[in-house]
Amino acid sequence: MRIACLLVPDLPLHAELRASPELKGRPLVITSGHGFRAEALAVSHEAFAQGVRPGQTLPQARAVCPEIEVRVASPVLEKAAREAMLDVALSLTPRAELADRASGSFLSEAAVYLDASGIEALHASESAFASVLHARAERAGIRGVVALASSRSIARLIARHLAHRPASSFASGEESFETTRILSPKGELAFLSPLPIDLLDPDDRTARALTRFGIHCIRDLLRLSRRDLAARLGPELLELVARARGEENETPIAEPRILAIAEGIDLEAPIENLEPLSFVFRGLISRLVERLCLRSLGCVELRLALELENGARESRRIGVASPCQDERILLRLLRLALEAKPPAAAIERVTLVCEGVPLRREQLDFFLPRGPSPGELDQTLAELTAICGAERVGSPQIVDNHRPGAFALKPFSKKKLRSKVDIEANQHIQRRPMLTLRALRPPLRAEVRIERGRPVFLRSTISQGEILRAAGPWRTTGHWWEKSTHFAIDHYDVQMNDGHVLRLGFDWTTKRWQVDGLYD
Amino acid sequence: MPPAPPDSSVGRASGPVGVARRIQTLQTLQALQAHRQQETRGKPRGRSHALEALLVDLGSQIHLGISDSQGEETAETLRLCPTGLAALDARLGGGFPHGRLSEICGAPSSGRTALAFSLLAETLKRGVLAAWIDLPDAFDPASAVATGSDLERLLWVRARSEDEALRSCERLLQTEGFELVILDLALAGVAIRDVSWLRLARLAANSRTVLVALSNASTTGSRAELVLEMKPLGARFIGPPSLFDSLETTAILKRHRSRPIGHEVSLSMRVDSDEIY
Repeated sequence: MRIACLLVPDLPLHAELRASPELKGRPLVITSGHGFRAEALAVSHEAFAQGVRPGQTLPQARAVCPEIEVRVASPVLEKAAREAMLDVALSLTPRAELADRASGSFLSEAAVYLDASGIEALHASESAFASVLHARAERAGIRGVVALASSRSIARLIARHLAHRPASSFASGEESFETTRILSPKGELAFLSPLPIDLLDPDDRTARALTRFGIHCIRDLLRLSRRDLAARLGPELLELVARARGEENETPIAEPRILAIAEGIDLEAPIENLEPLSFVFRGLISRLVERLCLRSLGCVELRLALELENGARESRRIGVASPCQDERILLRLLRLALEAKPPAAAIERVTLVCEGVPLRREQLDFFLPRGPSPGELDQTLAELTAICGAERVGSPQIVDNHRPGAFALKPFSKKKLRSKVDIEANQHIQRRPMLTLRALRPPLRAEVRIERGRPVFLRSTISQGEILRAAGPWRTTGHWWEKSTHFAIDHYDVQMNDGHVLRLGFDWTTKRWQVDGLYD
Repeated sequence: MPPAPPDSSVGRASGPVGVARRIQTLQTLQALQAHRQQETRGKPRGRSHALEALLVDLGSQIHLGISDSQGEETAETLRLCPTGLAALDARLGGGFPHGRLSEICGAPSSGRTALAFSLLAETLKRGVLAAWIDLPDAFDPASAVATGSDLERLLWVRARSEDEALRSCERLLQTEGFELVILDLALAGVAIRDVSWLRLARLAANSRTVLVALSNASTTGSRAELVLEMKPLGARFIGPPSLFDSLETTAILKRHRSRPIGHEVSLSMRVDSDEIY
């Protein structure tokens, strides 16, 4: 088995740089908190070059380098960066997994394992594969190192060795240091032997004991008898030995089935207005789309979760008509969703989860015009909804009851449109010049004078005067079993002396006359 | 001597020849204006009136030329959207033009909505999408089905104000793929500014959409390619028992940029009581 390990030594730093690319090239310190006692967890090359070191307090760091940029470590950004590493890996191989979190001095590192078996069939060599992986990670805003070996533990050890290079080269910020290393199974032991024992990430007690015994490098450890080591230092040490030899019991890497992609951000100061928030959204969507592209997925639904200043949480679901990778469309839909229903208070944290589905090409009909693209139609509908309201935009439907003027409005969707064959099946409807009704919603109140059982005079806001001719009544009743929804209306068609032809109604439930519509 | 009036077809042509003609027409117009000023200084007003009438006529022709230059299509190559009413389609030269603003106006109970529904049904029959922007909230789905409209392909936008209606219309015209957009403004007191019509006409030209405004009285002014005015002739009741049968109406072509205007087409709109009730 061949395993590649993509390792990022300072995840908090790279997660922040990924979210705020404008900080690249500036002295940056990631701290554990806001106060004066907050310690530097990770420092950028530029800050390191000016003497800032991990572990210093914020005042100490500022004393050394007054112009440093300070950011507090964000678990949300780190989680997204870790998942982005997995996405980078999945863009090259279907089998990849996130490594377990390390402890001690490697607490801030993140690693991804990739199954690189048989990778030569797709890439020129393992070295080329490692270079592509490194370059792709860097393009996604994640700067790491790549090692390729015969097991997870050895690949990670090599990657750690590459990442934790001497302080002198780190301080100089040199770019030419080794970022990829490929080891054949035969050369692994020779490579690992001189490496310091700290790379195995022993716990504090074991590390102290090994130092006391004068064991400083892996070679020293592997030279000793396992039985003696276990007798003197406990069975935990055998794990270290197995790790150093690459003999850990490793299961094959499985294919992950993760289709949801999440990006989030903790805002430095709460945001109330939508305008500044759109800048935040732009960054989130950009990173989200980048990850979608890496996995060749399209977004079909956006789930927006907001944590507000008053402690409340709000969420929105924004559907997308067809799998989409267009930043502009997603950003517009997001903005429209918030404009339609703004948050109740200032926003402190934003999380955006995107449901990804495999991209597919739009299937066009041979005989129908193309019509708007699903993305464009979706954007138009979202904008119309923002303008008029969700309940006022859609496709009209006749509901299956006898209530006069009853209708429903269902969401307009291109997906459900019928094909040409279905349309032709409907062509038998013989059309002729037919009179239509203009509905009056709600019906207009009216006063009607009746003579010999016929309406003869109407007074209403739409028309007033003598009724020349009248036809009717036709009674429509329904829902008699439920008092609140019961209806019983006598309809008349009347021609007024001013030319209006109206549909009058006498509502038996309210005992009032009304004008239901105008023939036009 | 004033220069001879230009040919009435001037301005409709597109391309370099059309531009040259338009420049020539503008020069003619300027000369006419100068001549009119001279006339009004001390000469009798009879000739001045005639010139003024000529200027008004020329103004519309020049406007026509400028409008045509916005789109690639000329009057001869415009795609047309039939209404399904043979007599009316014949008068309109085939139907309502794509990429142009048209208007159907008329008094209540004049059959303007029935005509719009007929156009809608005929458009939807081709399997395309259409939209109905409804400012008075008067759209009756039952009537639409009775005229043969496929409601699944119709987007109904129930605007609550003029502003909402115009913004919705603009947005729809920016979306390519809606073949027909009907802007129902048949509500008392609606006043749309000329600049709004200009903007909508340009958007319709870009998207090749048939844009039809429905109103009580003509409001589109010179921005419309065609204006059809509907006039009610009377309602026909049959019986006994008394039954409302049909509405007799006349469609008058009030304005058309490439067809003779003033012709009337009589229409009899029948009530389909089975569908409406």
